[in-house]
Amino acid sequence: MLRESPLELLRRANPASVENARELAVAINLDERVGSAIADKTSSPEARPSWTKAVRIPSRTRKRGTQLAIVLALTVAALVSVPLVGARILDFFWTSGTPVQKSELGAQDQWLLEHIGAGSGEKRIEKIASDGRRTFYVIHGSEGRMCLASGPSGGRPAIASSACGTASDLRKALPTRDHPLYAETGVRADTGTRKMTIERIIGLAGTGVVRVELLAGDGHLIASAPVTDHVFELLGVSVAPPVSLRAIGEKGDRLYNKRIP
Amino acid sequence: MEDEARFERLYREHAAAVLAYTLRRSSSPDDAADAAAETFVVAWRRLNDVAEGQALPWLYAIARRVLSTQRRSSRRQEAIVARAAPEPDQSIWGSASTPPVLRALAELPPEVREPLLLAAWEGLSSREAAAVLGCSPTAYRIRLYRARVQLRSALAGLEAASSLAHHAPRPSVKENSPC
Repeated sequence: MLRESPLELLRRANPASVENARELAVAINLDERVGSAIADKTSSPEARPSWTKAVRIPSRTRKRGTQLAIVLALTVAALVSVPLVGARILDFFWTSGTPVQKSELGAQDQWLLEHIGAGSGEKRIEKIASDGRRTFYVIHGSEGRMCLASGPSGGRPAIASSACGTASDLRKALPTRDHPLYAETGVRADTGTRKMTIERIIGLAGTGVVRVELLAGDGHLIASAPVTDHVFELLGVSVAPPVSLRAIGEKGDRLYNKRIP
Repeated sequence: MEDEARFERLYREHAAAVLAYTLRRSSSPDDAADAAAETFVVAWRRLNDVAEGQALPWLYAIARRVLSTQRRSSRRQEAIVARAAPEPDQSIWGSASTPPVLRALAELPPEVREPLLLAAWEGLSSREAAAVLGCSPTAYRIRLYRARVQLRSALAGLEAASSLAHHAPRPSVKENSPC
């Protein structure tokens, strides 16, 4: 016989409080998502003169009075990869990572881990690469699900962005001998001109890649970054797509090109 | 200028509540964030429709439709890629490791769950919940009463660990239909 009202039981089983959501909103940059969504989907500025200013509202939290919205776009599937002729064979860089105990994670990460799109069962998290500033993780889920996540090393929360899918799809996105670069691209959308600017590219490089170069559409070198423990970070760039990433080997040899349309 | 100020106030006051609403009904934080963002896109387009003092129920009503569209779109996409088996229900209230009350809830159809959730998780009054569902407060109260009976019945079935699922009669109401 039930002693408590079903509604009371439900209240106590609430899986996400508004406070949880408030913390998550910061972790996943909800402000910027909303700004980007409005920029992408509302009518043109001419049709709605106040449109630009409205988009600016969410981005005020970044303490800059900018009308630009930054969206971290996981460009796993959208990138066009062009292996160079004569590129030498590269090894997989990841066979198994360092297990991360749930107790090592903060409350917010643990909560996120429970609700991330990696299935409903037990999850296992492995640290696969870190350059001391950025750490990448693989989250093994249930029901054939997997996530690739990254965040600031030693940061709380540790997980700042994630891409989840079926394990087979996610494994294809990770650097392989044929496609040794994986990249997350930070894009800024100018809500006035609707032009996109790439602000930063963070990613993983396969074994044998020591440097990653960012090339403009016409092929000139824009920026270059070393690869440390398979992690590279091209920060503070400002370039309109299309661009390319070029993987450079130990002898300065050009191993691979990845086009970002 | 007035529109921007109104939208800013709306967003700042209710963004967390809207995200919580979508989180409680989505399979992942990413999906929830997308739904919350889409909700505010619609809110921006329809800013003139919001009634004074009814902003949150109005936003929940939008979020409800956005989530419904998201689910339909997801189902279509799954059909297109011709997956061998449908994705299991990964929503946080429907997974196998959840408490009995949530497992019982997962057995109920969406149109029965929603009145319960609006009362228990969003803490809405009958008038506010009715505004979300697009019906009168009286109709909402009737719907809530029936849903409580069904939830209690499903819970009792689980508690008795009966091998036979205990289903209470379900009203013939379609999702998104007025109550």
